[in-house]
Amino acid sequence: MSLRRWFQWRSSAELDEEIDGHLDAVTRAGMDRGLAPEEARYAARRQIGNLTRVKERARENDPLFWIESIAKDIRYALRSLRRNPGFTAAAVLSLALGIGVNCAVFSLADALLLRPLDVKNPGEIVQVSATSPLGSDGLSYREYTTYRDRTQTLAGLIAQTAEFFALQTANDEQARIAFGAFVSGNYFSVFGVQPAMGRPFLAEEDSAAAKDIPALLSYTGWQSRFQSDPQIVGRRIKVDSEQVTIVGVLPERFLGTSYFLRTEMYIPLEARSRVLARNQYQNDDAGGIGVSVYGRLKPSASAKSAQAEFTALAQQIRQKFPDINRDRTVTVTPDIAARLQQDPDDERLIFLLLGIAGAVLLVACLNVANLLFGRASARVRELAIRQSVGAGRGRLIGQMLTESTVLAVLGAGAGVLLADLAIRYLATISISPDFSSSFPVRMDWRVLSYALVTAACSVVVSSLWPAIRSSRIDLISPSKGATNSFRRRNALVAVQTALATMLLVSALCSSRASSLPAARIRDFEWTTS
Amino acid sequence: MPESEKLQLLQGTLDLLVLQTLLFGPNHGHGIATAIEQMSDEVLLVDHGSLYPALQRLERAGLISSKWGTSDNNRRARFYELTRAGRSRLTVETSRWETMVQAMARILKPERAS
Repeated sequence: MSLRRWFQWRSSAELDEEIDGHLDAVTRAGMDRGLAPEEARYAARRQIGNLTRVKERARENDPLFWIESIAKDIRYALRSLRRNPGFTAAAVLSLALGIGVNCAVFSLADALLLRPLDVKNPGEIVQVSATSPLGSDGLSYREYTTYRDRTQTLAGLIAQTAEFFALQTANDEQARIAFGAFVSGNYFSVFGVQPAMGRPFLAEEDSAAAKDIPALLSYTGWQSRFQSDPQIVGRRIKVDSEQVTIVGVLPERFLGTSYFLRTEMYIPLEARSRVLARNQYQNDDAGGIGVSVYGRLKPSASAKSAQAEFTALAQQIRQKFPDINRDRTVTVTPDIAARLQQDPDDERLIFLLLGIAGAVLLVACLNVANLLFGRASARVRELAIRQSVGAGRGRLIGQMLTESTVLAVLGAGAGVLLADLAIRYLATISISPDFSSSFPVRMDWRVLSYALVTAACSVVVSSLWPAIRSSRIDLISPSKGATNSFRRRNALVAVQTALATMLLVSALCSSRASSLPAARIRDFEWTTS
Repeated sequence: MPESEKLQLLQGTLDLLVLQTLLFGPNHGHGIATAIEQMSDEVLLVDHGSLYPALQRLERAGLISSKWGTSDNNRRARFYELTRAGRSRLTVETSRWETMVQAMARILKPERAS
């Protein structure tokens, strides 16, 4: 029905014909009353009023009219930008810088903090942690198995420990330090990740008595330690003092749960005490080791219901072992929320960086606003003419907003290219020479949508005020108020300088802070050596 | 009646008058305007600038439909016609208008209403 109505909309030509016919009829009616043809036509025109305005008003009901007028605005904007290449280049460059920096910083924040785990249905993943008077911590392996065997709200509960170990890839090679994880046997099935090559762990391998210790390589581990050897499956290597067999390689996208350091290898948790037997991790009580625990919610459950269940289970454990579990509570948190809580330092650093990037964009927007002001005063004449031939104020503002939008789109395009360069560069930075520890940054739709959002913000910030101000033109004396606007522009320059200084200072401060992950790794190395 | 004494239409009444005019059969824009003016004994003045937007609005709402035809003096003109939805809307709007007029009258001339 609505489609039929759509086709009933008449073209502008038809509307014009209809209204011209109307004028004709009125004229003839006048002639019938005895007026001379000229007089009748004049009377008819007077009765109808501004003919163009009547036609325009009739046309405004048509949505096609709006599309047409927006297309016209865009064409006009492109033409006027091409005529002012200096202005255009300055504005686009300014916006490109602002948007580019924001995208690059966002991709970093996304990689380290915000991006969901690259597993099946990441929204279902929760972290389980315990809090005792000594602080927040993982669970003990014994606690983990208790919860794993009793939970009804989770489809699966997995445990892992992250470790550094000595890796000897061939007999005649020197052993190097590597970063890996010991994971419970259900780790990959709960995360829903299949090896890209080889096979997953078998059920019988998830046992301390297994004859052979299997290992799965992460994609980075396969690349950096084994030069992407396609014949890798079945190779035996030495991890600390034990021989392990590589059974498969994981897909490139799966980064595990560690964000700064790339996990290079996964070994079943049950084999942990055998592999690490020689060093200080040796522990007679295998159930006492600390593990980080992740779970997958059943579709019917929520983090809240899981929390209720785990609180009840913790109560049971407390009754069984009252002396070591006094005041110990267990917390179930959605993965993203948990990540934000866990690393307040990272979080602060990242929000500081995002804030700085925001300030850069703000400066860029003010810069563009300034340019637009300058341009608006240069085109007072043009605007005055357009207004006096009947362009409404809304139409003029719309025109100028279109121009800024076109600028922002160009700026965003250039900004994304800049961000892409920056991201490529960021990805090559190695935090530690011994590990695959680059930032897992990448240009993806999340970064692109962020670019879109920043571009939209920049349109609003940079152009609304100039557009509104300059559309309020005094038709009679366009030069009036010039001193006032000069004062305002001086204020803009002052704000810009202040922001730039602030930016520089905070950038200097944060350059110390940004060595933070590296410092953390150094601490790690120090304690493990 | 001199032009100056004619009344501009109240806001929102044009749609109702257009529907009422079309009750007597299909008509074109000029015909509708003339009919309104004549039926009101030349008291009401139709603003031609609002007539065509109103016609488009009514057509989009499905209250009237239109097609090209030939006017009395053999000119091509667009003829508008009431749809069924338009007819029932007219009944509803007319009774609402009457309620409105009575209420206005009660307020403006209280002694007569009591």
